[in-house]
Amino acid sequence: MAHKSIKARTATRIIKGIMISGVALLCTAGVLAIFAGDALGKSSSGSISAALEPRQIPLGGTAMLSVTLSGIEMAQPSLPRVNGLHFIPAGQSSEYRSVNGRISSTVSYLYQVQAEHSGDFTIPPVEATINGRIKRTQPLSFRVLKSGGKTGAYSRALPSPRSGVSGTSAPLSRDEANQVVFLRVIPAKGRSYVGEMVPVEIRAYFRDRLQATLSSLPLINGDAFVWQSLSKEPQQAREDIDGHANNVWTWHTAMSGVKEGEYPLEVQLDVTVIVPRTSRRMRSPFGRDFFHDDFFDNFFSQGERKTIRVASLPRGMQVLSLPQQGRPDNFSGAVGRFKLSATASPRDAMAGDPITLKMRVRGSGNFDRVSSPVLSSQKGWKTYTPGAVFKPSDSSGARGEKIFEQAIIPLDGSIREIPPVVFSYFDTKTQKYVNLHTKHIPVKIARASSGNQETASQSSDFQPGASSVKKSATSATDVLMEGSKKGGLAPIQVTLGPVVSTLRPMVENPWFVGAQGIPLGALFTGLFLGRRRRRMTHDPKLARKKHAKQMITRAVRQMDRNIAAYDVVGFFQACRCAAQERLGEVWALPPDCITLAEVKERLPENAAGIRQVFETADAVAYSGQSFTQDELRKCRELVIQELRNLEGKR
Amino acid sequence: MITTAIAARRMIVTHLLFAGTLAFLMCSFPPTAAGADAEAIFSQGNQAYTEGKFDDAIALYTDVMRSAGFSASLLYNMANAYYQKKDVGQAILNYERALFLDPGNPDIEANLYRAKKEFGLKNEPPPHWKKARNTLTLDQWTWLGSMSLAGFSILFLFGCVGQKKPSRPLFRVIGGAFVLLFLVSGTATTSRYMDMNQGVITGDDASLRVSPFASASKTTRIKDGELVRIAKTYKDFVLVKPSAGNSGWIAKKEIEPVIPVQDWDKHVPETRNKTRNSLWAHAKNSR
Repeated sequence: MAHKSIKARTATRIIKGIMISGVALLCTAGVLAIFAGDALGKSSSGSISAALEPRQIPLGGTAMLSVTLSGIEMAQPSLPRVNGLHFIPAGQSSEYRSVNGRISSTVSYLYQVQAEHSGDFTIPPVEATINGRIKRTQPLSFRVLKSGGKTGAYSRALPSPRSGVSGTSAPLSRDEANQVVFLRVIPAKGRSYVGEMVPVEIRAYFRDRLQATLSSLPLINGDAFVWQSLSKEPQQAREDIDGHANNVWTWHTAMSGVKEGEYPLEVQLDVTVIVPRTSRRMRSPFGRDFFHDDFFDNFFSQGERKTIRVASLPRGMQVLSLPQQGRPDNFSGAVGRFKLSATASPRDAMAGDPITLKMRVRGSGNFDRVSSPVLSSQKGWKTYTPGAVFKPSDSSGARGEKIFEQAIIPLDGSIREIPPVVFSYFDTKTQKYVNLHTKHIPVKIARASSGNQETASQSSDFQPGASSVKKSATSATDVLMEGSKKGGLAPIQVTLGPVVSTLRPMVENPWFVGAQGIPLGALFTGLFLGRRRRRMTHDPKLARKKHAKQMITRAVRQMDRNIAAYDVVGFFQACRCAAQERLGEVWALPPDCITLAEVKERLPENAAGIRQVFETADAVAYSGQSFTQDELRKCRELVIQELRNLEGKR
Repeated sequence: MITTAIAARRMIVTHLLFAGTLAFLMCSFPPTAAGADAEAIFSQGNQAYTEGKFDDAIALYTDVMRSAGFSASLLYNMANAYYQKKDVGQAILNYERALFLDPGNPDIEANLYRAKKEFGLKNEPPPHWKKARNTLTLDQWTWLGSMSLAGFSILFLFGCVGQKKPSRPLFRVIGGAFVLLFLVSGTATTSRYMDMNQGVITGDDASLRVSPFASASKTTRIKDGELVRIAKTYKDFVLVKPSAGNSGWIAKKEIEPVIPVQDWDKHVPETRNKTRNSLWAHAKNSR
């Protein structure tokens, strides 16, 4: 029994557990289904919201109403009519999302809200059909104060203009009146000729206090016109049109029609507008507190950036073709009004020398079609393709000066003037073709002295500096024919001639530079020797002294050699020779004249050593007296000592 | 004995002088190199020229130049080939080089004159003193100056060392002639050497710039083939002074010096940092 009851209780517990788990699973699934259904229902049904900033404006001011729609299929919202309020469309922005393969979008419509009179207004719910259902926003309250109240969020709109020029523009069209940003393209004239340069102004108008920035430069539609580049910095100004203040940004450019007909001029511009977000802070139940001041509203609600594209109203432009009648042969398509002048330099030259002809075309028109004026007669002249420089004097490039420089070569020494240069254009004012001529330019051309004068007239037609012509392979046959027909170049050399390994000059060769030391050294040696010779010539005592010194040195060497050779006779002869040289120097006598008798007579008693040298030398020469080598060495020392003593007595 | 020693000393001096003069002469002569092969290739180049194959002729002449060296005839023929190809810069460059080796050659002068006219380049006749100077090459002037110096030195030395003095009037005449020759040749050498810093514009559509940078604005266009004076270099740019107009900087690849150089920076002084201020001052002035 007890065992059965235990089993039954266990089974009951298991069944209860299973039931509880099933109920929990069902509840979880239900909750998930509810949330998912809600989410799906929300997503599928879509939503709409509206925000108005600021909620309070002075009379004459503007507020911005933003209506945001989210869903898959949406229609444009219909704004309710409110007596005393105007809703002006100011553009829209879109955002697309893809969630689980379903694409939804969010579109924001912007309206500028203006009031006719002061007072409290209530904007009823804005309706829109989203995903097939009509959705409504909450009503919005709005207060308009009398003039002089606080300014709203748009007081920090476009930057204040740099120049306070108040322009006079055409009144607003119906479409422009509904826009806070609009564009106008204003050509200087509504009708032009093909190629005629027409100055154009592109103006972007921003309602006062609108916060906006440019996202692009104006984009020009259509291919019937060629446009010059826009001015880099737009000119800024403030204009009142139909009582509305506008900040105006103006770009200057110019355009020219490329084909005949009537074509629209249309410009687009991307602008980023800052739309203020609705303040989500709770309102104080006790009225406006300190932090609900407009300043803090503006500070804390930075706004949302929305990029919109605005387009100008198409404006028709008629392009006329240029008349065929009276068109000059050298007409290159220049249309406008121009003046021509020309100068030449040098005006004193030889035949064959190049002269630079400078031609200036100034005025207004399509300078890109202004080609170089040409000489009315090229007889006797060789001309080269001119170079051109254009210097615009306005931002559109329709006015300015184009300068052409052309090299011309007189081929004849009899030429006395440069013929007039001619330039043709179509005058848009008189609607006729005009041929401009300069005056003759007098020049002095001397005849070339060499036989090469003819070469200028025989030159070929290629242009210097024109790489395309230069690098093109010239037909060899043509060149040879040219050479044979026109005299050509002097013939080539048939032998190689002396060859050098380098073109560097000899003067840079270090060996050569070093070799120049030899003649320079010889020069200095000559200078030294010449000076020495002069000194010797003018000072005989010095010469005698130097000579005696040299001879004594030689005699001493001879003494040493005789000692080594044990030549007693030779030794004493060398001793006597040395003594004679010294005494000759001291007594200013020739050494050969000094004998033993002279020595005995002139030398004092204490110079016994010298006397003994002379006596011994005679004795050895005539008696054959012998000495040992040691005695000869002692004798040598004695002689040298005596010579020094004599030197000291000079 | 004494007389013998002095005579021996003088003989030594004389021998030294002779040996020095010989060494000097050997050093003074420029090295030459030309072989039969070079002559053969040169003849092939001439054959190609006469057949109107100017590109082949230039290639063969270039081979001769690489293997043997330069000669006035070679450079002249090469210039003619470039002329026929209407390559202005290379034609003028090679004529100028040929004239450097053989100044006063009538064929070279005539063709250079014709080329300048043909291509619309400035073609002023040189002044008389330059014509006189151009009768000899730079090396010939240098040689003449060196020889006159050596002659004077030897004369002077023998006058000082020699036993028998030369007569004073004769010494003065000969010595004065050597001195005069040395002064003339020295001046001509200096003048011709200063003219070596010249280049020819070889780039198509070349322009001078206000400063030595690729981004610097261009001032004037300069014609292909124009002869300019090279003042200095800075990195990849050269400051040049045309015969007329203001100086300006040009890329090295657009100009070729008349006397070919291995290293530009050794050829003309490079602007260093210390002279950068003057460089910019020049650029501002040019602006």
